[in-house]
Amino acid sequence: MNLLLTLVVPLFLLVMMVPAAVAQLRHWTHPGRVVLEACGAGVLLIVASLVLPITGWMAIVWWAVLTLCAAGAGVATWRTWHRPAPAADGLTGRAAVNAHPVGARSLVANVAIWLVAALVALVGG
Amino acid sequence: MSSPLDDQPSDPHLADPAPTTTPPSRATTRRTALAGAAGAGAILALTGLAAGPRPARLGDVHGDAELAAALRPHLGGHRHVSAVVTDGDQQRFAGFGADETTEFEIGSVTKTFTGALLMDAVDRGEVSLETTVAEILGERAAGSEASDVTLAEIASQSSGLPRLPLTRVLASLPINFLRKDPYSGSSVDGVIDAALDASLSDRGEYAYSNLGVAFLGQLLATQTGVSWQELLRSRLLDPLGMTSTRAPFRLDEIGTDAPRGHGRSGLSAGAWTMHGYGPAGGIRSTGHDMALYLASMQDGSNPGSAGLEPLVERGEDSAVGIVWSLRTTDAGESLVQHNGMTGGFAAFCGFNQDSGRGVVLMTDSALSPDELGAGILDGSVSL
Repeated sequence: MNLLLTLVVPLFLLVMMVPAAVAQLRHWTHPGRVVLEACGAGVLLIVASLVLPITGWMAIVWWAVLTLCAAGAGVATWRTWHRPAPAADGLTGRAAVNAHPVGARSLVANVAIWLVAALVALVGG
Repeated sequence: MSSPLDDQPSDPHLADPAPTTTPPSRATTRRTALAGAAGAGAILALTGLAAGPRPARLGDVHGDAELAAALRPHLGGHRHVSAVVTDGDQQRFAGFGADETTEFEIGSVTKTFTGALLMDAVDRGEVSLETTVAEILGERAAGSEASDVTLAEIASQSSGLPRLPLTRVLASLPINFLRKDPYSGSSVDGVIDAALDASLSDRGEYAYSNLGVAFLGQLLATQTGVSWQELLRSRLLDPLGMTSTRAPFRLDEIGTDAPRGHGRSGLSAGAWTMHGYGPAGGIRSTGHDMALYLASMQDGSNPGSAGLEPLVERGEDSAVGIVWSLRTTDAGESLVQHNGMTGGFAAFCGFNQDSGRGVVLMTDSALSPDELGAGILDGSVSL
């Protein structure tokens, strides 16, 4: 149980964010989705930090994942800036998901959830 | 000269630059791209600021530099540490960012104080180790599974009481997220009622229970007619000269300048007083005072030193007396020890009955110093 809580769960939480970050590095991503992915990554990173013992190598992994997410957002923004949106018809899988715009309500809800998590982290202790 | 937007895409997904069914205008894309980048950047930056694991660095050395040098390799991840090591009559102190007056939460090492209060009450004839819950609480304990549980069973962690009541565990979940005292709001009566309402399991076998020792402290308070905090002060701290040790009940009694600890990810952790559960972990003490406490256990002047006979087996070469854990090393030496941890602090206290070596370790990080403490006691960590 201890191993599950201290190693498996934190690693699972952190690894969950990698595919989304890698997808931003590879595909044209709608700016709204860049924010959405940042919110998702932010919430999981905060929860991992609040609940689980993240020290040593785990802390390095935590910062590495955050950096990867930031790099994904940066590259996605550069690509959006320099290239037009790709054709919807020619896109499949992750590329189509990334290019798809995000609904305003979904964006607001995700930002709100992240804000709550950030507030808990900031005002706690 | 072409603008970047006119560049041919190299990404295979961008091979067909035909517009989507609802193509964003280039101006809009640039504005939204900037807004997206700013939003994502702010979110990730604030995430790192608010919840990023902080690297720990040991504070400046105080006290015995040689002892500090020997301890340093074993204290990775810690910040402020207070260490007392005794060898017979010789006592050494080393602190990292802490001197002998720096206060730490000692967590469950507090339980040994409650055990000492029990032995003191036995010595005074107020109770015996065989006194039952019903003999202290009377009609209030009628119908409870715990009514015939003895004080010795509770103190040796073999009463069958759960580690914590389920309601307390559930109530503490949101508080854990806020890194506050998860025992906040518990009352003395709440602890007693929780123990009386609990179902016992595996009675007679070792099962660590915070509820049990908190209950024990409140039973002693009920029997003597004063609060556990007052009992602690008048019967243990004052006689031992531990003037800087305290067990505040309310959070506002701690003071705004009292040190706060760090969780395992390095985030700040709120102070714990544990309210009704104070007898199980609510004491704050200093290196100076814990040195007195350790010495009193070693020289027998502490009433708790009368409770070091094994009462319950805890596995191979390990047992429990009145709260203290008792262990026999491969070399046949007898170790007496207890650890403690709160949301932001950890502690270890123990001594080797054969070699005369004793140790107190206190840290303001919720990282267990048990391995170091046990190693110092059994000699596997050389000082």
